[in-house]
Amino acid sequence: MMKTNSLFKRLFSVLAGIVLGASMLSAQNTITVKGTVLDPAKQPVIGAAVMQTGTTNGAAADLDGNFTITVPMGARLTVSAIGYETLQVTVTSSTMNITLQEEASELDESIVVGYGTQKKASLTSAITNIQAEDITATKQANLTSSLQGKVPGLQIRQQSGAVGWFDDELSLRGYGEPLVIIDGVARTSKRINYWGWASDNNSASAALAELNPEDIESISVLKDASASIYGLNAQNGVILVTTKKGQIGRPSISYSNTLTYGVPTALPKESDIATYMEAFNEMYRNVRGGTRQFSDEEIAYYKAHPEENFSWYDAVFKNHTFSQVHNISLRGGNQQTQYYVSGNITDQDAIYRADTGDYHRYGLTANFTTKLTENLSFTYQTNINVTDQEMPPANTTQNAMYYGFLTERTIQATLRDDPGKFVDPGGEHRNPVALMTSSVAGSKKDWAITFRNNADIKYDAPWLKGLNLQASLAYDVVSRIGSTLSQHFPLYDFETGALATYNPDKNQYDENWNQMLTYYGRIQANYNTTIAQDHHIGATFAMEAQIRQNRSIGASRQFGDFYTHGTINNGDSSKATNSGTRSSSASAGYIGRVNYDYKGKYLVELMARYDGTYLYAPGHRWGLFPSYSVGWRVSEEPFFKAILPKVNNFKLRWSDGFTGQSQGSPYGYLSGFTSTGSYVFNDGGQIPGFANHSPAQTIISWAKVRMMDFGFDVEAWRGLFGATVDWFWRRTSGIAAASTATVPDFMGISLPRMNLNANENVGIDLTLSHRNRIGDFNYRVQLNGTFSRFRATYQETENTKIYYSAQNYYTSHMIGRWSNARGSSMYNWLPGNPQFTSWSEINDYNIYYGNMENMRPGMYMIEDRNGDGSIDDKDLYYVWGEGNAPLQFGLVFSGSYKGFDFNMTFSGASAVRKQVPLSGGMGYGFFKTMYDNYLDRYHPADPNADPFDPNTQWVAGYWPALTPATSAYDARGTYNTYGANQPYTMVDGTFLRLKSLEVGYTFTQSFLQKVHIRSLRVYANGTNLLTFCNKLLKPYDPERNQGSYLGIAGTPLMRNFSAGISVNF
Amino acid sequence: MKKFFTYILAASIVLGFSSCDKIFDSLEGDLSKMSAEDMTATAAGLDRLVSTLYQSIPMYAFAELDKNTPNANDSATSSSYVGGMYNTNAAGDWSYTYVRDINFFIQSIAEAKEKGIISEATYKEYLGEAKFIRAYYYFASVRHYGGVPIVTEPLEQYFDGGENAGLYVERSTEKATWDFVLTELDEAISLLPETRADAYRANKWAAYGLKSRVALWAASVSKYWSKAAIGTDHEAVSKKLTYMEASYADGYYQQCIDASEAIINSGKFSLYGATPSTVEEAVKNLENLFLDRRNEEFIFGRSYKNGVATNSNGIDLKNSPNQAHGSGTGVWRFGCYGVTLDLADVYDNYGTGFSGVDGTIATRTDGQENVFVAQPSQETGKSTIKAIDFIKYDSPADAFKNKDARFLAHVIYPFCTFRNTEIIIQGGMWKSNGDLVIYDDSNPSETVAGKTYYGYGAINETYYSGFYYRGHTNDGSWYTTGFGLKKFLDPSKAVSESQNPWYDIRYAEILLNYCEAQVEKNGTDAGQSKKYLNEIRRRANFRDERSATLENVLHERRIELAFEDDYGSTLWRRRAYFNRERDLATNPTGGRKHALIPIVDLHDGAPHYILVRANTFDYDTDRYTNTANFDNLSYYESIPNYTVNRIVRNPIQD
Repeated sequence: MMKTNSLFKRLFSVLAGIVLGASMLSAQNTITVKGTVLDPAKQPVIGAAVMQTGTTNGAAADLDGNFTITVPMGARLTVSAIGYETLQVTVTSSTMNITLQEEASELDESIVVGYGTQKKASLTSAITNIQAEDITATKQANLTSSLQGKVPGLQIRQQSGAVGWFDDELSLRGYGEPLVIIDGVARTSKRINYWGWASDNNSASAALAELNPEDIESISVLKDASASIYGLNAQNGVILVTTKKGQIGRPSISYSNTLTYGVPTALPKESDIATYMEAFNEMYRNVRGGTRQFSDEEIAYYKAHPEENFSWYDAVFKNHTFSQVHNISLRGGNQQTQYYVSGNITDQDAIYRADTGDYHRYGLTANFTTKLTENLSFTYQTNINVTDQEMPPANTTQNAMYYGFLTERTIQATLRDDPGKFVDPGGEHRNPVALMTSSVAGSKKDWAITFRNNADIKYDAPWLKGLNLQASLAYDVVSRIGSTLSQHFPLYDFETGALATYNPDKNQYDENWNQMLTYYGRIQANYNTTIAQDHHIGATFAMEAQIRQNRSIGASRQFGDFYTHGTINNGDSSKATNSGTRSSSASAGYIGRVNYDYKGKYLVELMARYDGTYLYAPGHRWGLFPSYSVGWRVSEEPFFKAILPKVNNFKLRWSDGFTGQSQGSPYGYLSGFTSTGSYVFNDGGQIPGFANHSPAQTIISWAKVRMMDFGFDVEAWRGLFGATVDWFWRRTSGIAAASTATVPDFMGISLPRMNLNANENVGIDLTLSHRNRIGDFNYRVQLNGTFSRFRATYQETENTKIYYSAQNYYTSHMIGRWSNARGSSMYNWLPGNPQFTSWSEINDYNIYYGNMENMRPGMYMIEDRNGDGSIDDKDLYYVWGEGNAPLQFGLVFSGSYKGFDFNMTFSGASAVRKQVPLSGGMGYGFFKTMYDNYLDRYHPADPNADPFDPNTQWVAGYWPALTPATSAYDARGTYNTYGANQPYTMVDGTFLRLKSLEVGYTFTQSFLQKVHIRSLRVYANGTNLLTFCNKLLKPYDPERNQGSYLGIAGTPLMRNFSAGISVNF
Repeated sequence: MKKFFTYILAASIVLGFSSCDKIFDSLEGDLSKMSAEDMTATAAGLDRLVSTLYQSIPMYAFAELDKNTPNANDSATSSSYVGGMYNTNAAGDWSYTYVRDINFFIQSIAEAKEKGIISEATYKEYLGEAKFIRAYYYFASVRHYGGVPIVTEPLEQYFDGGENAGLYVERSTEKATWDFVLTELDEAISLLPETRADAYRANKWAAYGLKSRVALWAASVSKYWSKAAIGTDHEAVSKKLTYMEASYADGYYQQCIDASEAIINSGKFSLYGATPSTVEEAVKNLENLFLDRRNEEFIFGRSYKNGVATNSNGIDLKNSPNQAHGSGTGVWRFGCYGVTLDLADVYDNYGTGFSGVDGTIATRTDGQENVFVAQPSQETGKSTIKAIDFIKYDSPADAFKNKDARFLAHVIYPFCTFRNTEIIIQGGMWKSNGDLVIYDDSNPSETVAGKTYYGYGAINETYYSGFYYRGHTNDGSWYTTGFGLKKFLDPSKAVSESQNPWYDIRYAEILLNYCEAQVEKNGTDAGQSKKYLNEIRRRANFRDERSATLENVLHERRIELAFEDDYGSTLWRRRAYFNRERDLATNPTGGRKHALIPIVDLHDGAPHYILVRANTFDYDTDRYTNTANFDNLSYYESIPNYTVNRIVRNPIQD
């Protein structure tokens, strides 16, 4: 830590020197210049800014394009106007005619689409493209977090601040996690899940998150039927990532770094021990016949000894983290060969006080493209990524926090006079501080290497202009080695210091290896031509196949009483276990696409994919998935130009198509015997059992997904206003389900699953943008949002569902009900949110609450929805639940002024609720701690008064009177009275947060040339800086889904402050 | 690297528009699945199929079912208490998936024999085994449901997606179902060899043993069905699906006698440690009975020792007393197999010359041992206690000095010594000032003559094994009754992974089955039954001879087979399950479980102990009235999915 801190200081002293050394230009003889600014069509450019370079001296062109400015002779003028390329001219005479070239419109940009590129203007699908500079403007170690708020339709929610987890929830348009295609190949990565274990599922979003942001050229997000060109499993859309390649030019070396200081975004403040004890006493007094748990002497002791204020939270977590990322790249080439090489190191510090959890990543990327002949070029790309992380052996942070909070705060983690001895917290719980100290409890290590290779040969046919042929091969190896050492260690009695017990873990060492190989091949032909000037035709045909092999092997041994070193061989061979698996998969497809446009106005695209998968029975493996899209650039029509000349682009788009979603288990069509347990026929030997309990799924095939999208793009006043709006609809049919056609139990097996169920998603994406230049100030504002809903349209099980009551129908009937009508159930308050202020009010109340015994002053009055005089589940309303919110929005505001640039990204969500954890963290008696945010509660004015005496005076508060819970679940919702499903704990989860703010400065070339630096940018940024949300959620961070009872368990989201430089030689 | 090129080649083949499916067929396929041909091609493969069949035999090994009877009790908050002893916890076996496995296996071995893969002799062995297992399954089924649909072949062949007529099988009558089970066993007996290389697989004697048990069940249900008669207005009764009658009984008793005799006369089995010379020797033998692997008493059961890795029955880890648990503090035990005072009283005492005399535990001078304190820790209970003239014991253990060796070997009692530790089970303290504290988790203490006494008998929860935390979620570590299970536990050390086998059928049961069948059929039997009954008593070092009356046979059965999941079955088949409506009038404390609470008495002279007879829980009055309502209809459980299965439902569902 010392080392990185001093690095930080050194960096700042360098920056300060650079700024102080910046010099000013000196004044010379002056001249008055009169001139005109015209566009290529000889029309005046009204309002064009004419500035003396490097000064504030300037003028604006009038209605005829004329301007007058007085400048020193030989000075340089910068002439700029919105929608035109900025021009620099040297003053040589007193009259100047300046012609500005129109800026290349964004519409002319080529963007990456499936198996090719297209001009943005001629797109007929809902595709969002985002460029390198927009990604790295808010660089974070986790790439998905950098995308948050920037792509309409891409719903991202950060889940924890645990480094190396990559557990952001990612969903496109509410469909689910999209496919991630990196350099033409679908790629996935193992992901560490919520509980800290490497999930067996390969996750596309983890592959995306692990990428080095500096290596990315652009990202395209295919949101509608255009994704179906990627075939099976593209039903949730596709994220296409293109990495940086070499480019023609002299070698350019870039170095950039980011140094980050992080603090938790939100944490509830823990009360001191005396306050906790008083609250705890109050909690128990609020129970009939309950007695106080702590004596006045004990409370007085802790008041007098603030140094005894031990907090398990503080013992586990530090108050900040420090991380660093360094990236260096070399890029260049000539007409013959271009190359790009980059290396990066990421070193992220976990927030645990103990020595575990840190995440390290080392990446190397290299590629080159060379011309073998005039028409034949060859590209080879390789990427090696190594990650390394060490974690506690037990169930990491989740349980560590839980164990700590279940322990009385009068017990500390280590003995008072011997911090090397860990205390036995008693009960079934363990000492989390010891568990997280690797020298004591052992550790879990996770090491992985990803090695990706692509080779492409491209042939531009000289005999047919516009035709190129391409062949690609890819070979990926992902290896992962996990090892866990669990150690047996002593725990001592806190009061006496005597050895109390041992941690129940055995001395055991486990090692797991797994490897995933992917082979991929593709041949492709692209053809583009223009016939008779107006007819543009493009065609793509491709064939591809992929084979993937997984294998894993694991072993473990126990060491008995004497642990030596962490290798399998050192353990006791009689206490050994091992395991191993192997599997393989394959898919293949034929792809065809034809585009046609007439004069760039009428756009048509036809697409089809013939797809095969290994999952199903012969005869059910292949399917044809066609789609089409059409567009009309209305703005190219003469009548439109006549009516709305300032609208430079207006395009209507429609797309509709099919794709397949694979489902069911592989080889389900084979009826076979699988291993099930074992039986001992003779002492000392066991015979594994085999049974066949699953019917052959011979007719099942993929689910069919149909996606439709209607959208329009508008741009007016050359970018001053822009909008893209898309309505989308997706229907998935043929989802596998067991038929409810009844057969008696006697058959002994269930019916095979068939393609039966269906559901649909529908929603809208919206982007509004504005870009402008005011003098030297360039800026851009982009607002985007997505709203998406989901419902089942057919569910086989409902055929046989029996409804006992109207309420039962209401709670369990799912067909046709949108997600908002089935999220979570909640009671409503009476108008004005009245609370019971006294016992007499409770006693006089004429509506029966399910459990009157649990009523206390401060409880909220609940609406008796059905008017039956009793509060029960029939009075529930449906509300949006917790989770990845269906309504998400973002705002990006970026700009530059001279050398300065900035980027502010806001992101937010709504139509979501979040439960304030009552038991988990707050106490209510289960967790042995108390948070200040719960102290605003109903309580007797005199703490010694009998709370059940009707004459006792109560002090009002937001929270009802405290009562103890007996389990983590208890305070959550067993009873109406404390039930969490009331508005006071089931809170509107809408939030808006300043996701990131970055400010940078790029030094002028004149200064840098002296030190042989091409460009130098210094920057500082912050993430998760500001959050606007319901104040009840502030201590818990509204963005996380913690579940209703976990409280502050897990790793909090981080607010990071970073600074770095980016230098290019 | 070779693979690499192979796959590149495979990919090129696909891309070259040749056969589309080639790439998929080139994969290794599903390595977890074996085809039916593979499984039946060798005897080793068939053994793997049999392994599956054995795994699911409904033998309830170490299932602790006695907790659902008056013999034992679970912890206070354990869900199995709700319903207490009246919860049969024996959800019937209704797994036609399992039946299909058995039937499919029978079909597979027939095919394998046809193809010449297995010999005729091997085929017979497998077939006998399959029939034995099928009998085990239908036995579990018939005793819970009455007559059930008997399926003897795989039915998929009848699935046609339309009417599926062949899939609907009617329920057989209860008698026909019992007869089916017995016939299956007769066939198994004729097919199975006398000995087998695999010790835990069925042989001829296992089939005889099971037949002895099944026939006794069928006979008892026949004889006592009318004791809990169900009206013929129930369709299941009028169709005789849940109906037996006394006239069937003798035939079944005879079958039981024949099967039992076959085993007894084979000379292959005998009682383990049959003739001890002292009580101590008897205790040692009885402790070792279940730890010794497959001794002369073992007929059929299940091994927990696989020689490679852990394969534990968990009995020790779950049920060792808190003080001698071996896994340290902080590990929550979830057994708390509390043995009731009711059972403890049943064990006899040794009288002169090791004769058997009444063993009711003496607690008071007036001998009124049928009085139980209802709410011992409440004021009403305390005043009841204060009025009783208790026997003063120096140690509570003194009250059990003359108990049956089986009590000493199989039950943990207050202040006994187990694993070199004195097992402290104490529920309260009568202070010198006259205050009586019972079940006080603050564990109050008082020092008298330099010695400190505690409410629970020791300074903290690590050092005592009884009554603490009653009603708390962690109460599973302390006994609630004053007694605990010791049978099956290793007497010398705590065992975290118990591997002692489960004796599902043992010789002592066969002897008792024989006695019961004889006396039920013929009245008191002075011949063989008397001999066998006293053989069992002699093993516990009782030297007097008892006559083979029904009462004596049942008394011996309850003691000998305690905690072996037999007592619930006995009450059930004899239709003697506690019935609140019928029994409450004559026996107000009947059916309730009782505890013995040792209390240290400091108020009345020199410190000594008294033993208080009490209800298991302070507040069980409510639970008792709410849950003890056992209905005659409950002897037959609900038929699952009777509408979908198109079969007659059971009376309780009417």
